[in-house]
Amino acid sequence: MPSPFRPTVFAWFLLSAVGLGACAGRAGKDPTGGADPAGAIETQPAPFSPTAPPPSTPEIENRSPYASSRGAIFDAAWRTVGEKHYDKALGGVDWNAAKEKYRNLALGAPDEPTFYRVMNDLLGELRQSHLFITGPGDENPLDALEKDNSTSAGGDPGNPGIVIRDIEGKPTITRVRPGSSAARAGMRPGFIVTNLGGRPLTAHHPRRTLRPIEQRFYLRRTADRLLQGPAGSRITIRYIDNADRPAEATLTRDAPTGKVVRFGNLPALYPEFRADQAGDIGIIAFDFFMMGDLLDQITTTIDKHRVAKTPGLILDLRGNPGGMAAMAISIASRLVSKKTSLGTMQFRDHENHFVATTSLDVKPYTGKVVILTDEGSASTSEILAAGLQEAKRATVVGGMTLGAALPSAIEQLPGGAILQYVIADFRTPAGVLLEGRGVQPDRIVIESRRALQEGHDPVLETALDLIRARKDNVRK
Amino acid sequence: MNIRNITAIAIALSLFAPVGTANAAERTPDDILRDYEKASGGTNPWKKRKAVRIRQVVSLRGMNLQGAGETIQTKGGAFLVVQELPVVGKLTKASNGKVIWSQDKINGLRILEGNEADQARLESMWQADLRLRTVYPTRKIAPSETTAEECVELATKGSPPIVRCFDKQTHLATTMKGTAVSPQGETPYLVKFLDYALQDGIMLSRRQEVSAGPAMLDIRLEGIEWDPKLNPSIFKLPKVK
Repeated sequence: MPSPFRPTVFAWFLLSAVGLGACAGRAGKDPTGGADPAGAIETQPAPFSPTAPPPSTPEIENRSPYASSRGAIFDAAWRTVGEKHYDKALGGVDWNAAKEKYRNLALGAPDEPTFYRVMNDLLGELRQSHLFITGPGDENPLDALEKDNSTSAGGDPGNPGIVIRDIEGKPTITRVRPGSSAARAGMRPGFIVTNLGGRPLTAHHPRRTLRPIEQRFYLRRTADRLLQGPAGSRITIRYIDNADRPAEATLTRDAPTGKVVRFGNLPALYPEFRADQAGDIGIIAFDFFMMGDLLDQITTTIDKHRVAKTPGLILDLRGNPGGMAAMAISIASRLVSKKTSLGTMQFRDHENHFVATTSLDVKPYTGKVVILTDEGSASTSEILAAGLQEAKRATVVGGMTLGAALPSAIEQLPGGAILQYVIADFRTPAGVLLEGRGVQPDRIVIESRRALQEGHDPVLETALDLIRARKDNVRK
Repeated sequence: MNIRNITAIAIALSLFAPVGTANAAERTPDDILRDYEKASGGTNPWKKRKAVRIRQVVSLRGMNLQGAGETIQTKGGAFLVVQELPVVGKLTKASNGKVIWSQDKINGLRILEGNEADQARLESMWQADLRLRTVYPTRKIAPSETTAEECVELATKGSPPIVRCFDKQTHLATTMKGTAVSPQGETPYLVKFLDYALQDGIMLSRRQEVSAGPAMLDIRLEGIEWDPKLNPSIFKLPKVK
């Protein structure tokens, strides 16, 4: 007892808490990461050395009130990534040279947004998702725009209840939450959004070259960020309705429908959960992987379908950017009858296996499982979808996923900066690296404006057809 | 003289060197562990005790996340370890002296077997640190990183070896290194024992820094209660509905 300490908890803590960062877009502002092919260094890399003397940095005068912290923030971020990134070679990037390249630029930035932009350019040298830094004084143009379009209602963050995505190359409303302010204002799926909060929506990142799927994600994410604001505040939307007439409306941001979750350094989250039924087929949708109440809601619903012996269950992970990575194990364990690998998380000096397994207190659901995905499905969504797909336990239906599946951690640095950094990579049981590739659905469904206008959800309908077809086959 | 000859002579000399006389200061693993037992208070403070409850505060460094820990051990061989983090939930490991079990939101309720069970038993047994010489059949000197420490590698047939290091002056534990076994694999960890103080006749580390992979935990001792009133059902495998 002189050392009242139990090491067995570590793996659990590590898996649950650190895997938390395995999400695209919630903690960081730019979920597509810092990939910037134009910025790639082609020099021969020198090994990273945290003890190497820093490159000489002239003292730079700066009027920003935060400027005195910049050196400490830069060095802490550079060191943290160098010491904790899962790949000791940092993908061949010469990290010492990157420091030389960016430190003076960062310290001499005219303001904090520029400082953090340069810092993110430093992280972008690694060309991976889940690398991001922000801090006091940082404010990107989207934030400013949101403020312009909001009343200062304060309080909980809200949104008007619509999802805007790239359909046939145009920003299109794909979902309207029943009973929301958007529904009351007459918004319908199929409307093309020409202007949101005073700006047009684009799929093109101002500074980075994105993969096509990242462009679609970027548009969706930009719209999502503009739609979010203090509950009760308003945003103007200009659109082309389903009769192709231009129109304008002012939407009020509704209070969040989900229960607030506060976890460490993360901003308050309001994960949404929906449990629906189409005939005898269950549908579970949630927009973030977060343990606690949300996990209880999901597992309770799966158990209900197990008891009711429903023929099929649909997990709708469209637009779900990830979250706590270990939650993929919890959910998958309720869907498999035998030990099933979902993949391997490779850390710097060890690996963790994501194994869904039977346990004494869980009886698995044995009906058909279909997982719905789109360009907004990332990280933990991809881990769950790919693992169950490879194990032939689930059929994946919809669109390609984002391909942003690097487990990360979020850490507070000196000066109040918040750094998200990569701590592992993830491979499926077949050895497929999900980062940059995503999950290829078994059934790709192309969504059209026409289908949305007619009130269809072609992805969901394909999933229902698949389950019903199997049910009919079993009856025959 | 070539390298092969030098090696051969070295081997020959080593064969004739009497054990223990090469270095007068050389100590056996059991010497080190015996000193540790003595430095930490020995068995006397435990003699009249039947159970202990230890409460801890657990913080995940850099994430502004804090949880609670509790460990209960009994002389009869039962134990209960509970760790809880906000949102993540509760992890329980326990044994009634016969069955070792675990329950958490990731892996569910399980009866532990093999290496995992062996590790849980070794960590949580009554007077665990005073019984290192008896519960680990294999004990050997391990290299230490500083001259101020001496280290011992401890191993059983069942679980991965651990390396315990001790301060040469105080003989108190300084670090512990090993791998934690779980269904997700083996996670390497390093514990630093800090801030020793005498309490109820026992030298206790009141703060521990734990690094596991990229994560850093701070574990702070909050309180110790001797012979608490315990309901024996807390150690039993929960009934499945």
